Amino acid sequence: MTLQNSTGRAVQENMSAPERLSIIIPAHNEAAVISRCLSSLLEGCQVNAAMDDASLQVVVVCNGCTDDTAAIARSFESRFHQLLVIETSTASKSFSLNLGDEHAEHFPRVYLDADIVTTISDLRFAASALEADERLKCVAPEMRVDTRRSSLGVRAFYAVWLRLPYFTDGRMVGSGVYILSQAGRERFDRFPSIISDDGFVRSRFEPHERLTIRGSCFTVQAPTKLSSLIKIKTRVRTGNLELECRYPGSLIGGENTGGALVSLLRARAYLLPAVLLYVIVQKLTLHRARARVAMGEFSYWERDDSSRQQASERPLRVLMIASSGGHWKQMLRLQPAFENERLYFACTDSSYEETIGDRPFYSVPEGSLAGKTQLILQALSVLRVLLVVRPQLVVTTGAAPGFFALFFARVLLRPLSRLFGGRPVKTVWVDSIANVDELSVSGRQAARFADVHLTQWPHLVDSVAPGKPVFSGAVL
Amino acid sequence: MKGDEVFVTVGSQLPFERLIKAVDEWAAEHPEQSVFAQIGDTVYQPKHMSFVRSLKPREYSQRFSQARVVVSHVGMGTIISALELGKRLVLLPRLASLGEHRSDHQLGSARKFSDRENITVVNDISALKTALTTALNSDVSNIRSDASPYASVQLLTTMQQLVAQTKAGHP
Repeated sequence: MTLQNSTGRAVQENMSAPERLSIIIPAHNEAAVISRCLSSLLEGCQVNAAMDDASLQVVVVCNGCTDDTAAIARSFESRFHQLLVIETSTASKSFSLNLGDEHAEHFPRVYLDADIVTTISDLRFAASALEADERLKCVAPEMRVDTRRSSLGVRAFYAVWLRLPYFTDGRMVGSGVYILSQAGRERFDRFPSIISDDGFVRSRFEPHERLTIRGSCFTVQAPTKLSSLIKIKTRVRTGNLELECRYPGSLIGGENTGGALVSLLRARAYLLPAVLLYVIVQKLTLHRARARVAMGEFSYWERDDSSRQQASERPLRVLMIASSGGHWKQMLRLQPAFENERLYFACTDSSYEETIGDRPFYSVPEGSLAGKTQLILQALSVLRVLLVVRPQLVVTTGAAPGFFALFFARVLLRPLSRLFGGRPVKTVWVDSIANVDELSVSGRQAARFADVHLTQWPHLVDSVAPGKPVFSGAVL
Repeated sequence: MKGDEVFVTVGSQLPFERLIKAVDEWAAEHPEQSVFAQIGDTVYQPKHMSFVRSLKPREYSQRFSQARVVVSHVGMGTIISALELGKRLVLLPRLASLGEHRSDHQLGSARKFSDRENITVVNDISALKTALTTALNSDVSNIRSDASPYASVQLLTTMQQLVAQTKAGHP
């Protein structure tokens, strides 16, 4: 049969005797990405093909995980013929690679990072090169860098990096995924405890023994922010320095010389700003890596979490809005729940800005008691705040400005997000704890526009008030 | 700034004539006590204590924490601050019948919080004056300020679940 790999190239597969393959995936708290990794492997496969494919073995080694990585990985058990999920409390990549090797049955053997996206057919295609050419010991698919979610600075860096010899000469092999033949794996004993396992593996082989296989590919998510990129690159460089130190004569890097940059600029002068940024990042990361080595921090593991974030984990824009006084005081007590989100505040008293630190703050006119004109002005002002902030979650403890915020969020923002895409806004009313005997007037009015309507008194849950408030704890 | 013995606050919204007048009378009878009042839009002008109309949050907290006793309406801002800071409170509920608020919900709040060791709720001005004198003479050192500055774990968890649901795009 013919399978499409992700480069669109048809890969001939002999279904009667597909090439054997073991894939080892070390995973340390990878709940955010392990699902993406495993499901991407299956992409392009016929339904159930992987389930019937006895020649394929996947070993996920969950090491030192405090999240759901293992459970998520196990949920894929029904989709592979042989998916092994091993758990160890030792949080160590090298330990996990060795543990994975103990359970892996087949060669060629794939060592795959959990944040990589690639398919079985890509891996098979790359692995087949090991059979075709005995001189090859270590191969990898071509790297694609997904910078769609990255800042301009990160894109600029990769625009240069991806055009330099280290990457373009096809001998890099293994930033996140590498495949070893049996002979290749026998080149070294156990994986040493070292930051750069891929650098270590690469340095075991002569350039002619390793090759990037055109026609197969894998995708890494570039970090979103330059600061994350600097972290990653610092780690890579620290790893390389460690490698040089512990395994003198290791064959690493060195291809990306100043001369290579000059050649690049000759061909593409417009890359000058990007090249400058590239040089700055490289100098900075080398400096930081050396400082780290000087401190003896070889075990320092800087991991980038920004590219591990799924869309569903990007921070929400949360608007917290309330009148001054007790309403505000109660609302601030909810703040810890939203610490990781992008928080915006709005209050009827401009001096309350001093209670929220550096977060963006908007003041709206006082309106609850001062007659209709004031109330309308307040409503318009709240509307303006909503249009500026475009919150995805609105939380209020009352009173009038909270009502208006929920009202406009539901009747205006939500339809707009339907029209233009984006997360539909959710609205939360937490009725003031002061309302012991019945819901507040504004709380009753707001019920229609609150997706979640909470009272802080359990005995008010059964009230016949519209919205049927729910009790789920109190601010005190 | 040296703290006053008594800090009076009527909250950020409404005037409270009865309370301000009563404490001013008490201050006249106790000239040795320093009293500071935040009176909002109260028409009555105190003669025996210093006062301001409104306070910014920072100064409010400062005066609140430095006072020995706080006299106030049954406002949640006051109650939460007192629980956080371990402050002795004397509270007079606003009554709708006297035009002091739109509803009598402060009676409900008063009922719920009057059993706290540092909170005394009074229902008229003579009781207020007595309670204020008693509170000042009582030992305030043993009031614990152990109220967490955050909402209950249950409520915070609910909020975090909401965040997760919103991110996941659940309806």
